[in-house]
Amino acid sequence: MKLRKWLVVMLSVMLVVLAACSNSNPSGGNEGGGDKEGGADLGKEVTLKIMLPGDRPQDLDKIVAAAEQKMKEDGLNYKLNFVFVPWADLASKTQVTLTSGEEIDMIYDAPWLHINQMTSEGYYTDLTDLIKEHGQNILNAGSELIFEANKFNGKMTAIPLGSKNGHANSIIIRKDIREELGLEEVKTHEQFIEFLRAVKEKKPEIIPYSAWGVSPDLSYAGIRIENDYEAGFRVTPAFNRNFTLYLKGNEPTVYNLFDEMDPTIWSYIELTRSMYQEGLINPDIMSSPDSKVMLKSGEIASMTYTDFSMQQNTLRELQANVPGADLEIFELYKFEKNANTSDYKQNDYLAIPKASKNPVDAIKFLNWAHEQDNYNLISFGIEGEHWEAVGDTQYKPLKDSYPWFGWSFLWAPKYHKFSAEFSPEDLAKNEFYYTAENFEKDVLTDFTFDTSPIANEIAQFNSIDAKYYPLIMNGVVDPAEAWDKYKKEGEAVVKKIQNELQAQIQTFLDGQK
Amino acid sequence: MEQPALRKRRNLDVEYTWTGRLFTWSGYILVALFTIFCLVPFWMVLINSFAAEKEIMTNGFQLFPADFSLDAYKMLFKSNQIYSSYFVTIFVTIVGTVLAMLVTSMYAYVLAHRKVKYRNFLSFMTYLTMIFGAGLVGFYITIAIYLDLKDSIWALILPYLLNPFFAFILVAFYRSVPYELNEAATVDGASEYKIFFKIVWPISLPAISTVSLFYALTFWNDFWLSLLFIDNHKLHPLQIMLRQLISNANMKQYVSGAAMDYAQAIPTYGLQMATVCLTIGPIILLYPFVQKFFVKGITIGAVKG
Amino acid sequence: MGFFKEIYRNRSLYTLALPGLLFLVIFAYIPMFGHLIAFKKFNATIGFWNSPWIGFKNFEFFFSSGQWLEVTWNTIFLNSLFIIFGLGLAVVMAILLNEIRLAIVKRFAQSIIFMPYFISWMVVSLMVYALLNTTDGMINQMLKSLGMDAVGWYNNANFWPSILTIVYVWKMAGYYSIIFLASITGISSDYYESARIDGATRFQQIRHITLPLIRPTIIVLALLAVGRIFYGDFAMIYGIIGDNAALFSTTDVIDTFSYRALRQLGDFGMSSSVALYQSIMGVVAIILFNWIIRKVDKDSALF
Repeated sequence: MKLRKWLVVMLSVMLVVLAACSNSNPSGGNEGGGDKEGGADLGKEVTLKIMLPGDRPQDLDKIVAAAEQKMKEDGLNYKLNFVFVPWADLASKTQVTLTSGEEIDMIYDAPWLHINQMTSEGYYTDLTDLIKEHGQNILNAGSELIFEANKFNGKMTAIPLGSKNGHANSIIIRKDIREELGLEEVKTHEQFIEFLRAVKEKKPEIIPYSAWGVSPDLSYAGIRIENDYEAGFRVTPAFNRNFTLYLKGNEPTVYNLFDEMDPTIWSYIELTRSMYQEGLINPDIMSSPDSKVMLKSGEIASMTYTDFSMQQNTLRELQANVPGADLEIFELYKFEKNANTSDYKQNDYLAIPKASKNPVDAIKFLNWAHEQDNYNLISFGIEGEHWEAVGDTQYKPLKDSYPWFGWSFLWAPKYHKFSAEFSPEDLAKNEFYYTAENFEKDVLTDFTFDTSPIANEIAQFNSIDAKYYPLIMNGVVDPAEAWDKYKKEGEAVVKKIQNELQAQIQTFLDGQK
Repeated sequence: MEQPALRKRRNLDVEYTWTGRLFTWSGYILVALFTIFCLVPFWMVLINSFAAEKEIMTNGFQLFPADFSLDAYKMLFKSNQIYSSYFVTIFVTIVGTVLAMLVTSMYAYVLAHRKVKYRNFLSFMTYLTMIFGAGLVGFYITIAIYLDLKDSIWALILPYLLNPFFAFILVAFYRSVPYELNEAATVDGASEYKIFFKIVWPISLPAISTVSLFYALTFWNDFWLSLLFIDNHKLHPLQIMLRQLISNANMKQYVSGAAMDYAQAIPTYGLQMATVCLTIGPIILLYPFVQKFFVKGITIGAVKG
Repeated sequence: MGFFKEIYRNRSLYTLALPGLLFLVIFAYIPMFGHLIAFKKFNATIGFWNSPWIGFKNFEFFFSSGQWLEVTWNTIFLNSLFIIFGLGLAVVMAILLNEIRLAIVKRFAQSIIFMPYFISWMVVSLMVYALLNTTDGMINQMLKSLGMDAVGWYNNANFWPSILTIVYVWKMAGYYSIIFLASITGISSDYYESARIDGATRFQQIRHITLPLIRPTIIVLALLAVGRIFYGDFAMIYGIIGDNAALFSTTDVIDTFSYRALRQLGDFGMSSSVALYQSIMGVVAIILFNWIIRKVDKDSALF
């Protein structure tokens, strides 16, 4: 019948096309044969597969070609296969990839992702010896403090990227609105709240303050607690955003808010609640879109900023939407030597999965990449085309087809360049922040919290915490009532976690003596 | 005896009693209301994909934005990626739908056929797979490792060839086809294959076209398979490309063709609206075509004949 | 050897079913081994089969708090609302659309009500936010202009079963109505002819002809949906509600709960245990419902 014949024809056509298509698919893995280019025999060609989050830079292929060419000249016959994963799916994709034992050579991981879990279950290769033998450049490019501090249970199972030290949040304020209201520059919290009140009164169409509600450490109460230098509250390795268990100063004792509520912390919580009730905080803070978007659209007058220096892009976009707008930063962080502690733990890592068949080549590649010229190539692109140097430590991008993604791949303190857009003060702040020696060594440096004995408790806590903690910290509910419920549900679980954590800390400290 | 009111009318079913008219008119109103309810948000998406980002940022989604711009679409089309993504998606959708329809219709037919003794057992086993989802781990390991389909275009087609939900829609339909047809054909000496392809298939056109449409949509909208199994960005279908765009912070790079000024803002919201339009576009064109197949029962005529 | 005789007798039919069967085995049944992970402490470096068995330990996190009851209830309740109103409106739409005489109006309406299906949940949640937010949401602006106070929709959990149901029906009714329309189209016009001749009103025709004849379709769709009643629509609920804890008491479903609890741990064993729980409860639900349907209308039962 006509229909059937037509179907058969279609199918055969498809199959032919398919056969053609499949042949042109490159696949990761080793390809045999030596390469005879450049005189010397370079050995087998190895393709390194690298999995990173975010966007594939448009000119990546160009850079990869240039890098591969350069590597050949240096005697390394490597091909680079980058795979980029959308942020929203990063967790599932990387998990599934790792647990199925797929051959990835380098992969991004982070504490907020699942690096602790993956490491304790043995997914990542121990690089300690490999890096000593083949990766001297990598070691030289970083600070020994940082490499030491980012070991997991004494082994280096991932290369730490960057050299950040803790979080430095600030509050960003619409300068033009402040000036319009005739207020002085905000340097204290009292002035800040005054500013919010003035906005509420004189400019009712603008929301005075918002934050990313879902992340309680960015709530007003959260940043007050975190930046209270006198009290010295710090989060524990158990929960990295929740102060229910907390440390004080540089002491290793774990405190429990359920056992005893700290009056300072409670005062911040009550303050935030009254601010919310007064209408100074975005009523829909828990459901609003990203507060940065709201800032750029001119809807809000201030927000918690996850940085301490102004990002020019944000300002530009704001000004595109609201001509004449301006921003300034209400700094909460102290840029003084030894004012802050740091355990030098980084937020981004590059690991080599055990399933990789080319760990030595991967390290050799990274080693090659840790030379100034090569580092510049991969990080910023082709000099003259994508970027140009400004002074010794800064650079200016010329095109936007190759944005910097080093924070997930290649970030060596020694070779890093800062954006030329930083003002001199901001540059100084950045340089301060990225220098490990400016910080007092955290007593828990090198400590890794093994969550496997209490994995169930952590899972339970996560669901209880999500129900109450963000609401309390953002002032959305009556704190006394909510805290009671929170305490009732979470007390037992938190106690178990606290005991386990304290015990592990004790063992760690004893081991240090 | 015919009622006099029904005698000379173009349309014999129209009611002229007051209850009839009330019914008809409330029906019309309900349909109209729901249609508007569906149309307005869609209109918002469409019109705001053409709105200047500044408009959306400062005034929110408007029914009639004050300022227009093609920036969002420019961004999408200036890339090289979108064309290859469209091609992959179209290819997967066509091949997938054809193959899936074949496999599913044959299978559903057997599940509905009276002569098949094990049809209840098979139905249950099929249905079980709907409830007992394969689970991520098993699914991934089977496809990526046992079948070695990573980075193959078949990874985007094979896993959806038999959707139990759609199969059961066809089963329900096949059950409504009178068995007399089969009996008559058997008497005439037709084989089972002939009965299925030459008699049952043409009759089932409304059901076939419905399920084809649903399959086409499944293939068209999927991003999950490509997320899991396709690492080669040249093989990325449309949905994953769009998803990447929206969920990544620095969207520009996936798409931009360097025509945009470094200082310009990314049309975030406009971009999201534009991606919805791009996704719907081809399907909207397909749907009226499919509607033609919703024709009335050929069945009764066939039996009588 | 009744089995082989049966296969041989209907060999052409079983051959037709073969590709489908193969598919099910390869893509649905084999991967089911993955469910065993719920009972193991999975460690990929020593492989799936070598990972140690730990009995029901993975299930603990879900069942030890009282939460599982609440989220299970939310899941079932919300899904039931979705099924009843979604299918209900779809049937109504299909019937009404069928009544329209002007083909062009009919096709237009059909296409329009189908559109929402294409709008992704991410975009839907943006729209819902634009409608309901306290500061400048459209609904609140309307209320204010009528002299009333703005309502904090996003801070009160009680509104949300209704809101979610409305959104769901808006998105899916068009999609389901297509199935019903195809079904109605298949009803022979002879039935309507003879009814009209007997003096039946249009309304009566619908009640006595259309509805009974599409009943099998309605039942099939309902049954299929019931089997998934323990699975929350994660994309929808997480997309719209996100992590807004103020709304959890009525909208947190098993899937979102499990996601939140496990997203930092990434433990496959634990997430599989929840999936297994949903699957088993789904099987129980469907066997129960199918049995009920069998009593009412034998032919409509799925198996």
